[in-house]
Amino acid sequence: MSLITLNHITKSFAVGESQFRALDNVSLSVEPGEFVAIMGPSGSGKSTLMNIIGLLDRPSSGEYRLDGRPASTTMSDRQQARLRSEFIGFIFQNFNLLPNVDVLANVLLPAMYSRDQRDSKQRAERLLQEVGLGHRLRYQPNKLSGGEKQRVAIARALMNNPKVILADEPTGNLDSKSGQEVMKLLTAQRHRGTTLLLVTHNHDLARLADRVIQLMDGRIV
Amino acid sequence: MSLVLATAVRSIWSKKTRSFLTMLGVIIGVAQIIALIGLGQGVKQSVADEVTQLGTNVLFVLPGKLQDAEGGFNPAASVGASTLTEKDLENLRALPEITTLTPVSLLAGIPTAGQRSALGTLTVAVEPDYFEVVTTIRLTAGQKFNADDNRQQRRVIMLGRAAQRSLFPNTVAKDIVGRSVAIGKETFEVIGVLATDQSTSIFGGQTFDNMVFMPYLTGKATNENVQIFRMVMKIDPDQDVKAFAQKVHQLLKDEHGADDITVFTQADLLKVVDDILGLITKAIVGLASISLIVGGIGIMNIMLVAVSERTKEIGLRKAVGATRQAILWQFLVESAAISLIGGAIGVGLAAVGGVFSQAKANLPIVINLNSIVIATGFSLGVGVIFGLLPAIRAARKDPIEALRYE
Repeated sequence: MSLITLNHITKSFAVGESQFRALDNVSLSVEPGEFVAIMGPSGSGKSTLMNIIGLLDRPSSGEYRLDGRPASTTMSDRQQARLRSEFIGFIFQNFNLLPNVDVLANVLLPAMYSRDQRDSKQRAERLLQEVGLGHRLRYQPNKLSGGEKQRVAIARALMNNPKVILADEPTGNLDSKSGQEVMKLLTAQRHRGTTLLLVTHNHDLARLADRVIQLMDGRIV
Repeated sequence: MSLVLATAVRSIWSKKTRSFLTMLGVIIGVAQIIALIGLGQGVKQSVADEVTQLGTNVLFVLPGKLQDAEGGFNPAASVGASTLTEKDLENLRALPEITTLTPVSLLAGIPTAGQRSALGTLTVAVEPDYFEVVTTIRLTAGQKFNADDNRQQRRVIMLGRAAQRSLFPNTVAKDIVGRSVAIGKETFEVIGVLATDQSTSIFGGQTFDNMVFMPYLTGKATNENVQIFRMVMKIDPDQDVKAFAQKVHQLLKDEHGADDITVFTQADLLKVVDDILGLITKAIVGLASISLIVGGIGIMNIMLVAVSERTKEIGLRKAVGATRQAILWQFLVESAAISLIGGAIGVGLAAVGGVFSQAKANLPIVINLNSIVIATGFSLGVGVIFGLLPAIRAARKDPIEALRYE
């Protein structure tokens, strides 16, 4: 059974009088443990697709099933939040770390909204060791380099043991060496059976994926 | 929950100056309310102490119906001609349970000595027994009049502080004793000089400072139409005070053929004090609450700013699984924490104020569990009520928009 199934997903926005279709009849399925790269020019609908898969947004029409359960229009805000907490880890281009708290607290953040908070501190420390930041637990994010920040973000995304990691240009703000390290960490998660969806402009990164999906004007081409 | 609280405290601490300034409104409001309630308690306590000093076996008979139908206090009924008579006095003297009984009369006429007159003083005629009931009257010089002075209708008086200052300025107390004071056409010899009254008396709202005392029979002999303003008595301590008060009431009522008097026991007096101070306290607290509302508006303002500043954080929290409710809760706990900390500082401020008011004005501010509960309730209420709008605004933020926010 596919982990992610999209059937005829359309997302349209009102732009003045007319309708703009950010996604136009997109169907897609992703298997557990698969690494899928999503490419396409700016405005092709990559981010909208990620937001819908990540349950931050709802499609205008079509069906989305996550791990077999309907996860699109009928779901309440609270149910969506719970699915995000249990299934999905986000990684952003601009890291999105909380500036006022230390590295450890940033990684612990998803645990705050998880039903299972047992041993969360030990788990956060272990994840930070895995991303090579075991010595930076008490650092404030502004004391870290870009690569280190993104590694903190990876540890945070892994905190609730997600089935899917959604990474939107995770190396876009990094130098190539840091970018490689981050990619190495992300692809390593596949050994745990974690599915990885990567939005990128970078063909070298896309080459690492099992499958590349090209989006153009809201359609898969 | 503890994590939410820790997050709130950390967020407050990270903006110390701003948080403190925000708290200031609540700090002042709570300090004001606690100090005023505490002051009311303090005054109540000191008046109650004075009443208690009278002893539980003291009864007061007052003209007029001072208690309204609901049992509330109606001071207007004490205005007008007295309904108490010499006959009442004689009837009560016949009761063996009464050990001490004295009428109290107010006399007309302004005390004068030479060119000086003591305006604003109150001349009161009482039997010597009065001083056995009201033991707080103390002299600095001379002596109190006695039963013999009363029987012989001697023209003697005791002067309170106000009359001393008006009639004999710059004269030491012991030199006032023996001097002459005229009231109306009569001349009296000063035999006693009262010490300054330390506490406010509840008898007719006067302090002893304003009073001039003379023997009851002397008063009757030198004044026409002397009315009995009230009767004060002490009864056998073995008697049930409440039951005896009813007996006295019934006796006078039957005699008058109308219910036109009021019998007060010590407990009744305490209740009146309680009623009046309770009312005043409520009014003052109502007024002080306005500053709490102003404090609340300050909290709302700063929380709206915080929600706006932390838009990105809200987006992120939602992305990692926070529900709307969790976001609402987080901001609500933060505003409540600001307000509660402010309230705690306010209580501390009131306590410090209490030390000063005790030292400088001999007015204690009583801070008890009750006022702590009130302070906590008020500040929690302010924090929650005024934190609600910003928290709802935070909870409703769209996560995608919020994450894009710069």
